[in-house]
Parts: sequence; structure tokens; C-alpha cells
Amino acid sequence: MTALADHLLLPGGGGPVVLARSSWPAGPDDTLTPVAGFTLSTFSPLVAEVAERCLRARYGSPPAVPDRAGETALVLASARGDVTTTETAAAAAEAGRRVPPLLFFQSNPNAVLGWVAARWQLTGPVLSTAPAGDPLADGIAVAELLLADGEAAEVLVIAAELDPDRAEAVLVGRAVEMSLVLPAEDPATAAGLIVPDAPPAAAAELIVTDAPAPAAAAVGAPAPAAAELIVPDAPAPAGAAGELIVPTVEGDR
Amino acid sequence: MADRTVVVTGLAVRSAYGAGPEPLLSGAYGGGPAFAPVDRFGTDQCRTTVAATLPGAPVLADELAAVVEEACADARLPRLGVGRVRSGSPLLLAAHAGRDVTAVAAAVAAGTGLSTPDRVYTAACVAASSAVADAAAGIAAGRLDRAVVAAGFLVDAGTFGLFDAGRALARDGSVRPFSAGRQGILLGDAVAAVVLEAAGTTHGAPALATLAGWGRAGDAFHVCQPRPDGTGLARAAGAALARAGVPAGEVGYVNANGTGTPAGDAAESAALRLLFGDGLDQVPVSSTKSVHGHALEASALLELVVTVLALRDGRLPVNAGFLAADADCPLDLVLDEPRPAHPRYALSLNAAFGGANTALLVGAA
Repeated sequence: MTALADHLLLPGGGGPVVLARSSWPAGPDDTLTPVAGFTLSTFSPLVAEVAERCLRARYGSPPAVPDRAGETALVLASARGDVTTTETAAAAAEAGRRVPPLLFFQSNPNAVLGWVAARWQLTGPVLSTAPAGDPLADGIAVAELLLADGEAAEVLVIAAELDPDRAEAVLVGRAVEMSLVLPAEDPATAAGLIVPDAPPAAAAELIVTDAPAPAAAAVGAPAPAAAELIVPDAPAPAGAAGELIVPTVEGDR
Repeated sequence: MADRTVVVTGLAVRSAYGAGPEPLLSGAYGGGPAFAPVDRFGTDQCRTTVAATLPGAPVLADELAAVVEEACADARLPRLGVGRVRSGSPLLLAAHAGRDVTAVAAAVAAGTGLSTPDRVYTAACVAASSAVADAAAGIAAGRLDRAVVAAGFLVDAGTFGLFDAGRALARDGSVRPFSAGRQGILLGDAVAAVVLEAAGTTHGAPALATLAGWGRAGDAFHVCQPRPDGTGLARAAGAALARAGVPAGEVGYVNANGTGTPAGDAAESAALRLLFGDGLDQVPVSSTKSVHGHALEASALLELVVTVLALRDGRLPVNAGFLAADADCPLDLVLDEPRPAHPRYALSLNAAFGGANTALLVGAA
């Protein structure tokens, strides 16, 4: 297979590095937090959960750092998308029954990205794809395009599938901009982001790691290698998926 | 290295008006909206019963393969032979998410000699424009010489039921963008393909238009409602202009997202005011969704095709269904009949679930 990414690899290194990551389930007893307005299917809560964990690992509590939020894109890669919603709606329509109205709210994989973007005030590009190959790897390839084209400085990449339910998220950014995005006002926090012993993410293996390390002066801490900036999963606190957005049945697009 | 110029060298389309650009353009020039009672599936349980559909029972993969083949022929891309022209060119496909969508993409690529897609763009109403932006970015940066972008949506029972249940469909059977009394959207079939190439690497086909700029931005506001102040869409459009180095005053036509919903059209009007300022009063605007319907994942490509055709023809499409002015939408709408004009640039705008906004800046060839 000729990969589009093969045509579009970033030239000369300087590719993205992982700033934070998360996954679901993180353990055998892991649970999903319900998301207001989304019903029937676990797809959107699954996406919201890994997004929440990943963004909390990076930013703490919402919203994201204001001057970064506008440059943060969201990419959701899912080979089949929310098949529970799609097939429930199709079955109802084909049987001559009315489709449950609330399903309109979640009728496209983009929808939950709107919820995440609103909660964290991320105003970069929003994109959903159905990858042919490994979803996370392809999502990162899409992120590389956005970074290379200057459309985003960071990209939250989420891969999610149903049956069995599983999801991963990585927040990637340009290596050359690392010194700008680390929380320089809190060197201890910045240092705490470094987890040298953490196992590399599957995604991280796909990412250029010879990027320059961030300037130590900018973070007030020893400069780590870019590839070491992998953050372990952070559990989302109960109720983290909040009530910021009141759902409406009257969709407008 | 300066970005390379991206040109459109081939296009093909199917809409409710039939196969090819001519019937579509004729409809967009005021030949009458294509909405009619749906006979593809039952609508007895629905509040709305009309859509703009192709006749018969078209099969998405077949229609996609047909438009890709036609667009490649338009661009004079040989199926076999020198330079692996097609096999070295990626297909970027936009379509509705589902179990089989990547298999459809692979089949279309295999049948038309293009390289197998890595992904299908499923980002609702900006799926196709996102694919165009990715293709254009790759070409401009010199990572690709060409790409074929295709998109397809055929109105189906499940999607129709979802939009009907969500009360998104116009109960009066008309799409009335930016008009007082507008009630919502109506769905429409569309299958389209365009060939994008780097200027100077084409195979003898004349450029139909340039893709001068593209931009994307998010609302960070709601799952499916637009940000009322229009800032997300304005930022996307501003990014497209900035990329091209084109001042807003050089834009002579906007093919608006214009879904015909109360909130969506008001937000888009606000976005246009932010973008153009007082100059907005001199910018002709129309939403061709008023005649061909909303093709969801394919809508942005259908509207890009309409925009390219209109620039080439020197007449701007009408904004059908207009009843009376709405104070929330103070725009110079193209009403009743096509307006003669030869703008150097036109913007095609789209917005989607998730607060996703895109802008494609089309330059006359």
C-alpha cells in the first residue's frame, strides 16, 4: 500500500514529539465517565475520556493554556466510527420507526470533538478520519500534516474503536517549539513531566526523536531529550466530563 | 522554497440534476431547486419527506469510480504508461463513517489506478474540504505533484432519519439560506472528484482554476451549534486569505456554507462581517445548498466544483428560496438570476459538527 504519509513525511527531522498520552482501559477495572447529551453508545464517552486524561496530563484542569489553545488541533481516527449510533439509526429508519432524536447529537464522529474543544477551549482545526491501517499511526500522520503546514502547533490525536472498546490519545507538538509549550512558570512541574523510565508509547516509536531538546533556560530545568517527554496516563477525576455544554436536539448544521 | 501553485485540472460531478457539470450549473443558475419527494426509502414516519436525489438506486462505490475516472480524463492523466502518473497519485476520499468505508475507498482506488488511500475523511460537512486542504498542502510543499480528491454522499434512510429526528430538516420543503422564515436544511446527493496538481507538472490539461488558499479553525463552542459570533469561521477564512497573500477586498464571490438554519446563517453572516468589514456590502454571496441540497461529507467538494464552474463561466449562482431580508443576515445575496461577474478570487466556506470550519480560496485561471 502506498501511504499518503510516505509522500508527506516532514523533511529533515523536526517531526512531532509526544507531549502527553493516555489510553482506555488503563486497567482491568477502568470505567468511562458519562458525557452529558451522549446516549446509547460508548463511542463518544470513550473519546472524551482519553482526551480528558491526555489534556489533564498536559494542562492540568481546563481550559488549556490560553495562548496555546488556538493552535491546538483535534484529530479523531476511527476505522469504523460510532457504529452503534449509525446502525441503530439505520435499523430504526429501515423498520419504519422514528430514529431516537438524541442520536442526531452524536451522528458524526466530529461531534464529541466539539465537546472536547469547547471544554478545553481548543480552537485549532477539527478533523475525523477512518484510517485504513493503524488508527493511531495514521492519526499522527494527519497531525504531521497540520504541523508541517503551519495549521497547528499541537495536535490532540485520538484513536478509538468499539467492540471491544479501546482508545488511545497522544498530544503531539513540534520539537522545535517545545521550549515554548512547557509550563515555564513552574519549573518543578516542567521537570515532573519527564518520565525517563516510562515505556515508550507505540505511537512514539513512529515519531522522529532526533529533534533538538528544549532549551534548559526556558524551562528552568535540565533539558531532557525530546523523546523522553512522555507523560504517563493520568486518571480523570470523577465528574471531569462536565456540564459545560447543554445538549440541544435542534442541531444546526 | 516558495510554495508551489496548486491548480485544478480536472473535475467531475453527479448531483440530483444528473451527471456532469452542465446540469448542475444550470440548476445553480436558477433552474429550480432539485428537491422532490424521496422514493429511495420510506419517509412515512418523518416530519419532512423531500430531498435532492439522483434517480434510481445509485451505488456509492460505482459513482465514485465513475467521477474519479472522468476527472482523471479531464486532467489527461494516463491510466497506464509513463511515470506511474496515477499509481503514484493518492486518492483522498471523503465519505460517511461506517463499517465498510475504507473498503469502498480501496476499491475505488484499485478500479481507477490510483494509490490506495491511507484514510477516508469522515469529518461531517468539512470532510471533503479537509481532504482538499491536505492534498493542497502536500502539493504546495512539494511532497506531491498531484492528488485526486473525491467525495460522495447518497441520501440514505438512516441519515435522513437522524436529521429528521433532530429537527434539522426544513418542513416547508425549501432551503432558504439567509432569508427570513428559513427552517433548516434539506439533504442532497452528491458525488464529485477533482484533480489537484502542481502548476508546471500537469499533463497538458489547462488549469480550470487555482486553489490559492485554504484554512481551518475550530469554534470551541458546541457539539453541533456554531459559535454565534462567527469567529471560528472568520479565522478559517482569514487563514486561507493569508496563505494566498490575498486581501479580502479581492474576493468577489462567496459560496457560503448557508445551510438555511436560523443560527447557522446568522453566525456565518457575522463571520463574513468580521472578514470583510464594511466591504462585505460589495461582496456577492450565495449558498447553492438552496438548489442542490446539503451533501454532508461531499458538500464541500460539490460546492468547490460549483465555485470553479461559476468563475469560469463569469456568472454567479443564485441563492434560491429567498422570502425576505433577515436583519441577522445583511448580505448582498445573488437572488432570482445569475449575476454576471468576473471575480479574481472566490471563497467557498463550510462548517460542520464539532465546530469545524474550513475555507477554500479559489482563483480564476
